[in-house]
Amino acid sequence: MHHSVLSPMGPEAARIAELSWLLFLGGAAIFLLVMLLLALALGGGPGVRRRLGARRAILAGGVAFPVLVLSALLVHTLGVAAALGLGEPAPLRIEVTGRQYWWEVRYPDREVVTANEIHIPVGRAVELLVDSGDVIHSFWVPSLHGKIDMIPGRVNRRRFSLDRPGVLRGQCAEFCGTQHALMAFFVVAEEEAEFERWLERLRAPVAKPEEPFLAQGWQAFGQAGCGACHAVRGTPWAGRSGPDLTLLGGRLSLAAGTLDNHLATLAGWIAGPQDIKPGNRMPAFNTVLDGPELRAVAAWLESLR
Amino acid sequence: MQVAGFSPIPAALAGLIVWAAHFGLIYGANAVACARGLAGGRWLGLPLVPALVLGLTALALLAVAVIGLRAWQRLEGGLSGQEGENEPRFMVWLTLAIALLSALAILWEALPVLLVPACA
Ligand code: HEC
Ligand SMILES: [Cu+2]
Repeated sequence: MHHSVLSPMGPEAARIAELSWLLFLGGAAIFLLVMLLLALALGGGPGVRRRLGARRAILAGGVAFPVLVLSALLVHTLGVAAALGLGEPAPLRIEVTGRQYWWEVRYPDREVVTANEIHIPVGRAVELLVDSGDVIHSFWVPSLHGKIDMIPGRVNRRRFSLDRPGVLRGQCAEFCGTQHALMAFFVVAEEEAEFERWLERLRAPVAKPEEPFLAQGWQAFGQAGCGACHAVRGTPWAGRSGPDLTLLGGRLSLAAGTLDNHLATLAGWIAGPQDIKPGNRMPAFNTVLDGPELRAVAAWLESLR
Repeated sequence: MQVAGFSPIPAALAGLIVWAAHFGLIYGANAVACARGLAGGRWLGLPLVPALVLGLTALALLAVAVIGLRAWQRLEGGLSGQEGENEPRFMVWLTLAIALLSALAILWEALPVLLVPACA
């Protein structure tokens, strides 16, 4: 899993990583130089100390050198920023809306919605459009690009692409409330064919299951009122105030990177989301669903993949 | 220039005041242009935002040049004030140094308009 500026997964991230190394190594070199001069000033012979203290040395080292270095860095950084803004036409558009404390993900040209996980085909130019449904969040996948603020009422855009398959972790990077720290997500970079298969599965309507235990889960999901907040494609449930649950069983995590995704964590989440992620917007269902119902709902959701 | 009982500090800060005004104006102009969708606009055939920013930059550089030059002349010319009172040499030197620093800061903050798209 990639979650570091120093582990770039695409050309944009690579340029940012280069810039980071330039600043880090350049800063280290200048620091060493200053320490060396300090040692000479403290312990050098009288000739060395006189030359170090001369007006010319002070103007060169204290004024000209920083002005030149900082000007060069500014021009270089702005050049990188300008280059990051360009991109090929007709990219794949992906919209992400930040919400307390999860991420809604839409592929407007493919008419699909998902949450907390973004699949991206490698080698394709992507245009990311982000906004917020409530407060200010910030979309940050260090191995992908810089931080992108998500601001209510405003759409921010970035262009990027990914070079090779892998899983990248992202994190909300602007304090947005009590569960800001548990507002993460994953980016899955995969080959084009695999991406298209994933989209196909996401687009296929979910039918009422034949298997009695799973059918009981479907039933309980409806009766408990989960559909007021959650959507499952092809079903009567189309709530948008919680994450879309189509293909939930195939996701890498639950509740925006909070839990590993398997039957036990899923049932635990449905029963007690306020114990796991206190203050999040989903109420607990431990008093609404009895044990068998809870297991059936979890089994049905886990079967969606 | 000295008024009796008036501290010489504002004269030394003149460069910084020009820098702050320049910063506030170009920041505001750019933000308004982006918010009102004028970023791609043209004025007398010139791109609106860069032309405006560069114009304000030229004005600001002119102002700090005047401040710097006057300080330089006072340093060269023996420093006696109009009332024959001596102005501390250090304050004049400071005025000049701050004018130079402000000129550099003004150049740095105008540079992005030439290198990055306006509302990216
Ligand atoms: C009042 C609205 C609401 C109701 C009702 C509700 N949920 Fe949620 N649910 C949410 C919200 C909001 C989240 C996102 C929580 C977070 O991560 O901050 C969520 C998250 C989840 C997740 C994790 C999704 C993911 O992408 O990781 C699952 C699974 C889930 N809910 C299942 C259920 C089930 C099953 C029910 C019914 C028993 C239910 N929810 C009822 C609002 C609701
Ligand atoms: Cu957030």
